[in-house]
Amino acid sequence: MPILIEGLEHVYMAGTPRQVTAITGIDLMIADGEFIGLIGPTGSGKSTLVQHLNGLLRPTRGRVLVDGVDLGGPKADLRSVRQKVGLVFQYPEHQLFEETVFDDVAFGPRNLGLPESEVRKRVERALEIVGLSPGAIGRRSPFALSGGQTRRVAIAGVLAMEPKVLVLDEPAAGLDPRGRNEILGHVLDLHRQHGLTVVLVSHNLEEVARLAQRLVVMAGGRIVLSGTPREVFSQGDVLGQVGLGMPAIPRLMAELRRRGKDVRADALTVEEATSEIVRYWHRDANRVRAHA
Amino acid sequence: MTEPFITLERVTYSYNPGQEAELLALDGVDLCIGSGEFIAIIGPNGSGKSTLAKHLNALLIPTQGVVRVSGMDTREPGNLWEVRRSVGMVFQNPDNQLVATVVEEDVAFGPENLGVPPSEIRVRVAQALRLVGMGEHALRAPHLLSGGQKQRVAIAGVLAMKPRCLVLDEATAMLDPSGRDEVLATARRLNREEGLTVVHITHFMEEAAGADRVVVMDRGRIFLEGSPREVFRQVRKLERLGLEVPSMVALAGRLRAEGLPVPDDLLFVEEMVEFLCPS
Ligand SMILES: Nc1ncnc2c1ncn2[C@@H]1O[C@H](COP(=O)(O)OP(=O)(O)OP(=O)(O)O)[C@@H](O)[C@H]1O
Ligand SMILES: Nc1ncnc2c1ncn2[C@@H]1O[C@H](COP(=O)(O)OP(=O)(O)OP(=O)(O)O)[C@@H](O)[C@H]1O
Ligand SMILES: [Mg+2]
Ligand SMILES: [Mg+2]
Repeated sequence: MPILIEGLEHVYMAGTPRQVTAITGIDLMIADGEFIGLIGPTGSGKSTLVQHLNGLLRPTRGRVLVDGVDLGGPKADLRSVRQKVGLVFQYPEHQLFEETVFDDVAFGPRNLGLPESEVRKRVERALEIVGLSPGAIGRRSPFALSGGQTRRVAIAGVLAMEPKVLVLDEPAAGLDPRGRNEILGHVLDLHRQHGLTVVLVSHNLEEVARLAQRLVVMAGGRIVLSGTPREVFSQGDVLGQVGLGMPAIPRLMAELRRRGKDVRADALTVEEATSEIVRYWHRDANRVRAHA
Repeated sequence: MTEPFITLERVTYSYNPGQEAELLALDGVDLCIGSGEFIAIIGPNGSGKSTLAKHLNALLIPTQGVVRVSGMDTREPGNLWEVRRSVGMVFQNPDNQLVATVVEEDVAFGPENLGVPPSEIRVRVAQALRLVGMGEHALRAPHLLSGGQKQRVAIAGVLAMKPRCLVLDEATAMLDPSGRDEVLATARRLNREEGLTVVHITHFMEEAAGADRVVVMDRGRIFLEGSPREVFRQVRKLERLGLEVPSMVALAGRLRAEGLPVPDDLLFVEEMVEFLCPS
C-alpha cells in the first residue's frame, strides 16, 4: 500500500482571524513496506500531516493517494482506508471510549464484522503484545488506568485491526523503557516479517534512528530534510537550527572528533560508540608504548 | 538534608476501596522531601508515581498514613486551600492545561481563583512570565505556541500562585529535545534561585540524572532511592524493573568491560569527554 502525498497544505480555522497554516508544500512518497521516522520540533506539523494518511483531516490543498486512490476523491471509501491504515493518536485518551479495556480493543475488530471468537483472539493477542494481561486489565475501565497503561490500550486497539500501514504518533510518550522497547520491537518484527509499512512520529531521536530506514525532518510546516538516519545525523547543524539537538551518543562522537580523536561521526548506538572508542583507545595506547 | 517540606508516613492508597475493583496503588510509602530539593521519581508504568504526586497537593488523601505539607495534615479540610496553594502541578498534555485565549489571561487564572486582588495579579503574572522566559509572549494566543512554550506558560500559571513546590508529572513527555531542555532548565533555575522545591516524574533517565535525588517506585513502594550516581550504578536492579540507565552509564559499562578504566559513577557526556580527553 504505497502512499503518495502531493502538494499537501492544511489550514486550520481557514477564513477566521485565528487561521493557522499548519503544513504546506508537502511532497512525500511512502513506499510499500517502508519504515519512516517523522521528526521535527513541536508545532512543526507532524500530527497534522499524519492525520491525512487515513482521511481524518482533509487537505486544504493538494492530495493524498493511498494505494492509488485519492482520499479526497469520489471513489474513496474512508471506512476501508481506516481499516488498512491504523493510526495511534498522540493523545491516547482521544481514542478510548468503551466501558472496559476489552471492549475498547475489540471495537475495531467487531466493526470489521469478525466472528466473536476471532475478535477475542485478536484482543487477547494485542493486549499481550502491549504487556497488559487480558484477565487482570481487560475488565477494567480504560479511564481508570495509569498514563502508560492508557497508551498501551490505545496501541492494542489499533494492532487488533491488523492494519497494512501503521501510523504511530508519539507512541512511546509515557511508556516505561521496557514497554517502549518491547512494543516498538514488536512493530519492527511486523515490519520485517510481514512487510508492515510504518510511519513513526517521535521526539526520541535515538529511537527513530535505531528503527527507521528513512527519516523525514519537518520544521515550520515543511519537510526540511530527508535521508537515512546516518545522513540526517551527520547534519547536526540543521537539527540544531530547527531546535532538535543531538542525542547523547552523536553529541559525544562530535565532541571527540572536535578534540582530534579519530572516531566515526555517524555512530548512533551505544554499541557503535563502544567499538569506535575502544579502537582508538588501544591504538593510542600502542602509540604511547612505541614512544616509550 | 534541609528542613523537611513534605513528609509521607506509611502512606497507603487504594482506588475503589471495599469494592470488587479495589486496587492498592500505594503500599506504605515513607518519603521526606526537603525544602529546596530537586527530586526525580522514576518507575515502571502503573507503579504509583502519579498517585503519589496527587497526594502532594491533596488531590488524593491517603487511605492510611499521613501526608504533611509544611506541617499541614492533608486530611484536614481546613488545610486544603493552603496545601493547594503551596504545591502546584503540571501534567503531560500541554493543550489540556491552557484555558484562556491570551497567555497572560491564562497565567492570571490561578491567582484569580485564589482571590488575589487585580493589581497584585498583574504584578504576579508579569513576574511569573519573566521567570519562565515568556515575558515577550504575554499577549500571544497559547494555541500558537510550541509545546515547550506551552509547558512554560503552564508552569508560569502555577508560579503565579506562589507555590513552594512544583510537581511535574511527565510534563516533558510530549516535548521535543529543546523544549525538554527549556522546561527542565527553567525548573532548575527556579530551584536554585528561588529555592523552589521540584518533584519531577519522568521516564527519561537522562533527565533523572540531573536531579539531587532519585526515587525509584515499583508496585506502590519505594524500591530504591539515593543520589543519581548511587541509583544509576545499580544497573542490574534497574534492568530487573524494566528501567534503563542514561546512555553514558551504559556506554561506560561497556567500555569498562573492554578494559578501559572508566569511573563507575559517570553520568554525563561532558564527564565522558573529560575522561577520554583529559584537559
Ligand atoms: N485543531 C487545531 N486548531 C488550530 N490549530 C491547530 C490545531 N492543531 C494544530 N494546530 C496548529 O498547527 C500547527 C501544527 O501542529 P501539529 O499538532 O501538527 O504539530 P506537531 O508537529 O504534531 O507538534 P507536537 O510535536 O507538539 O505534537 C501548530 O502551530 C498548531 O498550533
Ligand atoms: N482512577 C483510577 N482508578 C482505578 N485505578 C487507578 C486509577 N488511576 C490509576 N489506577 C491504578 O493505580 C496504579 C498506579 O497508577 P499510577 O497512575 O499512579 O501509576 P504511574 O506510576 O503514574 O504510571 P505511568 O508511568 O503509567 O504514568 C495502576 O495500577 C493503575 O492502573
Ligand atoms: Mg503532534
Ligand atoms: Mg503517571
